[in-house]
Amino acid sequence: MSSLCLQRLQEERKKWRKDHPFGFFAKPTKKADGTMNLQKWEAGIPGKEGTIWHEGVYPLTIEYPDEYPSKPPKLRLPAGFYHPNVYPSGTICLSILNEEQDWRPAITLKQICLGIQDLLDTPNPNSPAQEPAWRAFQKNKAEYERKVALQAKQYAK
Amino acid sequence: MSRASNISKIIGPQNLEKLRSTKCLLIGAGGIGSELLKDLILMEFGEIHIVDLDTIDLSNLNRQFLFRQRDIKQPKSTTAVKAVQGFNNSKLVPYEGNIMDTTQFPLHWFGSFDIIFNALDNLAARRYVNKMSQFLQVPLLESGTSGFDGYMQPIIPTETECFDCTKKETPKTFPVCTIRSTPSQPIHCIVWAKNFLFAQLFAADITNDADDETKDWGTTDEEEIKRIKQETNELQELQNIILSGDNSQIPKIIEKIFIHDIEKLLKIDNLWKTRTKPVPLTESQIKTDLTDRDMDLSTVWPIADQIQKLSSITNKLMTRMKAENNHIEFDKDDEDTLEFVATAANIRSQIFHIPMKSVFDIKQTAGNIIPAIATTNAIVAGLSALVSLRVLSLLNYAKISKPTELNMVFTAKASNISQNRYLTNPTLAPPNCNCPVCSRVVRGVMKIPRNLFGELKLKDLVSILAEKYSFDSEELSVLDTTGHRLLSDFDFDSLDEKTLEEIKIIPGTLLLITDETENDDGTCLKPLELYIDEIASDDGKMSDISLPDMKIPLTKITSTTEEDNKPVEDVVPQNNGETIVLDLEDEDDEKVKKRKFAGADGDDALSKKSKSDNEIEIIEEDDIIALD
Amino acid sequence: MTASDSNKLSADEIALYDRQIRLWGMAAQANMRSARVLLVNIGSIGTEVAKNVVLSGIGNLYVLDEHVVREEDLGCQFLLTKGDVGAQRAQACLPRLQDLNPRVNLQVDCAALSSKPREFFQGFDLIVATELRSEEITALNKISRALGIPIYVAGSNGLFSYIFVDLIQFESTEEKLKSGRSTECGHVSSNREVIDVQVRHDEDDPKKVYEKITTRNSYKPFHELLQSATLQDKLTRRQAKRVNNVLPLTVSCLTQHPGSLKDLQRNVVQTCNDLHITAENLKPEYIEQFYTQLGIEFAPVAAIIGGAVAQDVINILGKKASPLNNFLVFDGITLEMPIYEF
Repeated sequence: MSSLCLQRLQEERKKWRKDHPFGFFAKPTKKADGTMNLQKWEAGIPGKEGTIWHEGVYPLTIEYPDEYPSKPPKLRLPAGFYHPNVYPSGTICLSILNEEQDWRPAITLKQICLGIQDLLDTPNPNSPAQEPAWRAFQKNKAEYERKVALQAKQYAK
Repeated sequence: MSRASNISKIIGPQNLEKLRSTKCLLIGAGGIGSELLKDLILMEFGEIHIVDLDTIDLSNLNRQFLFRQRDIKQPKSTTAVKAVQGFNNSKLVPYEGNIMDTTQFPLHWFGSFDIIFNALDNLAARRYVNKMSQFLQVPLLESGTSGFDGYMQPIIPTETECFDCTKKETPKTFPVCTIRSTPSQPIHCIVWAKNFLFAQLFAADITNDADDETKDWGTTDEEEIKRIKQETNELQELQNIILSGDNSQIPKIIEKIFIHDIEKLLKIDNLWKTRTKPVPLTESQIKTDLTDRDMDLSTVWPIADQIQKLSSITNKLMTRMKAENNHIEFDKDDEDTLEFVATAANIRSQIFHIPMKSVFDIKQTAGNIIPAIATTNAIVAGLSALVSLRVLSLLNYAKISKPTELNMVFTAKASNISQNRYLTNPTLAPPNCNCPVCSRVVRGVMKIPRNLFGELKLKDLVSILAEKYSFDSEELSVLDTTGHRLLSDFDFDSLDEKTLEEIKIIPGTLLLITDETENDDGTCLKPLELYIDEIASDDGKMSDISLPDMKIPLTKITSTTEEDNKPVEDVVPQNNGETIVLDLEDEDDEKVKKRKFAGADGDDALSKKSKSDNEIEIIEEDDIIALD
Repeated sequence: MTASDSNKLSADEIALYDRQIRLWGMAAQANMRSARVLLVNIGSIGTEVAKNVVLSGIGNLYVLDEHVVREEDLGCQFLLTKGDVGAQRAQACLPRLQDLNPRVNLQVDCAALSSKPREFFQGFDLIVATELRSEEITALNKISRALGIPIYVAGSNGLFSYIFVDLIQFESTEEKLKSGRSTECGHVSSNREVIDVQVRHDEDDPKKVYEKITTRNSYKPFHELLQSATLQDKLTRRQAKRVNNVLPLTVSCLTQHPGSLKDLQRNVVQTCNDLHITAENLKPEYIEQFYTQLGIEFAPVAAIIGGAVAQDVINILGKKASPLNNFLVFDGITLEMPIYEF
């Protein structure tokens, strides 16, 4: 790999330190040897105020491939996360994370985190990733909102 | 007349003597490497050191002309050297090993060569050798082929573009949604069968997550937990069947994957608004016949045969699991694993109304096989050997005043780019000023006495560097690019008291030191890449540590993230998300829609884009070049 | 083509030729098995051609070479060793060539080309000839034309080299991804005419559309080519100014073998006139170095030329890509390799 990936990630780290949205956190994970793994981050995404998500801060794992920033990072919420566009494994469907669609090397960590926050309250029913949340969102809003609120409590700030 | 009379007429007797004292490094003894070795010997190069880590395989013999059937499984480098003895006149030194192994091939070893010929088959090694050539300023002749396509590029450090100055194509990735829910091409099903199904059943770590009571499920809702557990459990169950060795349960696996899972997908009707619904197998199609039959691998079998073969091959793999430590990796040359992936992919294709493929064809996709032929390799190696004469200034009547007068070459006629030129030969470009490898860093070697690796602490290293190069030690980041690790920065100092040995900074480690303290004029110091080398001394002192004497140049802060505060438009959740990468094996991703210079004999070299860019520069009026 | 059982590749062959079958297909590979190729002279380029076609799995290769191995051959031929000096070159090459691929039926013949009657050539599908003088090329080409056999001729002058191709008339079909504009039937250049275009949609990816284009290539015999070779009206003025010096020098030497440097200096100006290109680019020292290297074989150049010839031979046996048409020169300094249609 070229050192571009690490260089860029260290830049992201500095940028995040200087400026990140209120209520969010993001930090690289530690490797078993005590060093920092810049290619795997843990972040917390707060639900937007005034939405059914607001009570929680949702843990997000961000993995950067060696080819980053040419290739997008992989994002994951906890397995079983209740959301129409999140796979049972926690994997997220988002156009900006797809190389063939809207991913651009200039997209920053901050933009990604804000993107996920947006996605929480504005799911796309045309791109279902799990059956239960998708079905409830389409056909039983009350049930959907109850489950989301329950989940928010689970991840309460 | 003597053996060397022809070359002597071409370059003159004096230059012939120079050539005879030239020491060159040839990296790779495969397709291009075999050809190059022959050419360099016949040209009377004095000393040729040849490195390869690979052994000979049957499928090499259609082009790697130094190898025979009897050489299969022998190391390439030593076998090649034995094979050329009949016509050899040079000093040949073979090495079996990985060129990126810093113990076997430390930086100073690379420095003992006058010129380096790359005949590699993977991007990582190409990038690594490129970096070594940049460290040492040794000319590098880079080359690669893929089928009819080939290229050759001389790299003269600091004077011409380096390997990383142009963007390289990396393996194609697929959105997880396409792979798991809505495949539309054979490759989607092959990726699913290989990276998802096979990996889960035979190569996954055995986890018992589902039974872990302390696990945070992200919800307290019992019903939810049950659902999630079930999802995880289902795969676990299949894995358990495989591990149990109970082959009477094989139909159950096939039912789950090709009936129940498809029925579940059908329930999400939004997926099928604009797509044709998949048609699951029926129970009557699933047989319990586990007889393994020999089949023609080059034809497409009917669905019943696919199902039968999948059953019998699962049975075979199940038996093998016990003997192989409950872990089998996919290997394109392991027929059982290949046939499992091929039949599973084909059954899925049938379900999703996608054409099925022969095992032979699926092997290419699943095994990332790049077509490779003798002729393209011979041409590319010949070009590389030939251009070395000019790089080494051995053609008196074709002297170059600057390295950018040298030519690089792409195949044109064979690559359907031109009918009027067999090759395109643009002159070399100067280094790309944004290249992260050759332009945006400075380089040097840090030599540390052997005994100090256990004494010198990371913070000492930081202060030595800060003092030597006037870095702001508070703002210094130390990255280990060999181990992909961050060792120290403004917000991370817990390793500062550790010795180099403790944090595994060893001879051969590459460190990237950055101090991006912004000056008032918007400049900062260029990042410094250091190669850690040892001084063979057991009582060295701190004062013996040597660093290159230089002033780190300033550079404009050119953020790679200029659109920083602009919100990303349309944060639309798509039926696309996680990407699955076809992993790189000995050969690279081939079945991508873009043609690329990649190959068994040089993979992944130049993206279509960079190639087209080159083409645009040299388009002539008469050339009909279709650029879409 | 329908593969009858006898024409079907064995599992062993598929495994051995795997990496090339993936390029040109099983049918083309099977076709190659029945091919009979005559190679005239196994020097440096000849060896490269032989190596490539033998590795690729051609059915039959017949090597005709009357030469005796000289010391300097060892500097450009990897099939020879020191002990072979003085032996018949074709004989000396045989065992090592056969070892490259035991499946190929190899025959060698140490007789002189000139001793061969016309009937001798009848049994071949294709001829590749190297190291021939102009008169020999003309004579051989006469026979190949009369018998309707495609011929490739290659020769080298040190760093410089040429390929002459006469396939008489040859129809090739190739498939290309369709670009914006549809290909239409008609002449695309003086010697090439598109005679049929079929459109095919990719079965894996319906967005991909291919065009199957059949092109008719016409050719000229060698002596006629030399007499009538011109670039008049074929190049823009800018291109005409940049024509590689190797072209006039090569054509000049083939038209009239220069007895001295002076001869060449004089002849090449005439050749430039005939070709309708400027002689201004020809520096005396360039002509001199070309003259010094006249008739010399050089391993890396042979690898490139032998590779290009063998590739085209394989292509036309498999009727795959559009063949070379009809005169190439190679400049080993700038690595330029233009293709001229004369």
